[in-house]
Amino acid sequence: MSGKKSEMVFEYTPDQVGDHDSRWLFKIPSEKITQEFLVVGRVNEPNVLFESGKLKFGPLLLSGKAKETVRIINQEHIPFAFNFSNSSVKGSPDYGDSLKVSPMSGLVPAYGEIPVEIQFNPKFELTYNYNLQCNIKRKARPLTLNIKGEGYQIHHTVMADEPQVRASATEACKLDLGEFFINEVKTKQVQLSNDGDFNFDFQWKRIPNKFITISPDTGTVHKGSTETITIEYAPTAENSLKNYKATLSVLSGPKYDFNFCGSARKPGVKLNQHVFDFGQCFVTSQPVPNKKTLTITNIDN
Amino acid sequence: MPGQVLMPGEEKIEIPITFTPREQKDYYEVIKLNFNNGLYFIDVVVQGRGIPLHLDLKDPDQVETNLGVVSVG
Repeated sequence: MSGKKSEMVFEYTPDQVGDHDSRWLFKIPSEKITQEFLVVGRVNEPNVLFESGKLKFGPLLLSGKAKETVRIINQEHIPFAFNFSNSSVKGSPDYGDSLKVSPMSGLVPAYGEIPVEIQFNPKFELTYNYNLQCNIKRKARPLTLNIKGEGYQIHHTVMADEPQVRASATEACKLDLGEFFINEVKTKQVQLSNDGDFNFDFQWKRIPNKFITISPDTGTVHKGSTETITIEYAPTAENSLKNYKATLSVLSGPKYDFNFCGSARKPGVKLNQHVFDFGQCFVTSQPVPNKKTLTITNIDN
Repeated sequence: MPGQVLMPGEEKIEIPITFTPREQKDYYEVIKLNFNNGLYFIDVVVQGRGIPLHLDLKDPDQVETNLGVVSVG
């Protein structure tokens, strides 16, 4: 129609990242008009990324928990939706459910970021390697986050007394210091061995008793080594222990109870008198001895 | 004094303590009894006083005593 305009539209809906071009030829045969069009477009990946590409939890005790936060950063002027792939959070089938990601999906605001909490709670004694995949809407490839971790158990043995008996975490170990006289010193030994691949700490807990010392009462047992702990009972007054409890805790591990028995008393010594008063005696040139008798009796039986 | 073992069941030992003052003064001594190789001690106190010997006649009139006449033999 003369005097009228007509509009044609090129629509560009790319599904791949990169440069795209498309050539078109516009013809009006009656007027012998030919016009070439080159339509060019470029698709960029949205600039949405993890602040870090990997996360290392290091060795962690089974049933222990460690948390780390990783941010998803959006450097674009529009928000982007994200979601983590369930199977990548599960990892290998023998990992158990040792990894938790929260939130599993959401929206990263424009020019903003969102913290994602990663919790590692190893269920088995093995090395973990996850490649977490986070799908970003309108992004061709998912973001990946490599997560490494290790689950371990404490391997240890506790031996006590002489001859040695193995202490158990379920039943208190009885240690008898015997009956003796005050000012004597009695000792017992407890040996804590580390048979695993990781160092561990220990600590003694007890109600203080001024006659009992435990040394060392805290410390670290290095892998492959044995710590000998001495429990010393040195009563300086009459004292008796009836199931006095001391607990050896292996940090992040079991607790071992020890019950101590023993008593100390004064020797059964009886004197007929403690003061011998001779009173007034004459000083003479040929002295006459004044005599008294101290009798000491052992009244113990 | 040498050490000695006292068996349980009332075994006893008797230790004489003699006091012979050489001077006129007060005497005071503490004897430490050592039991169980030095692990237990009991103190025993010994005291007394040295005094001068004064011999006086009960009846001063008896300073001179007439024995009378006595035949030899």
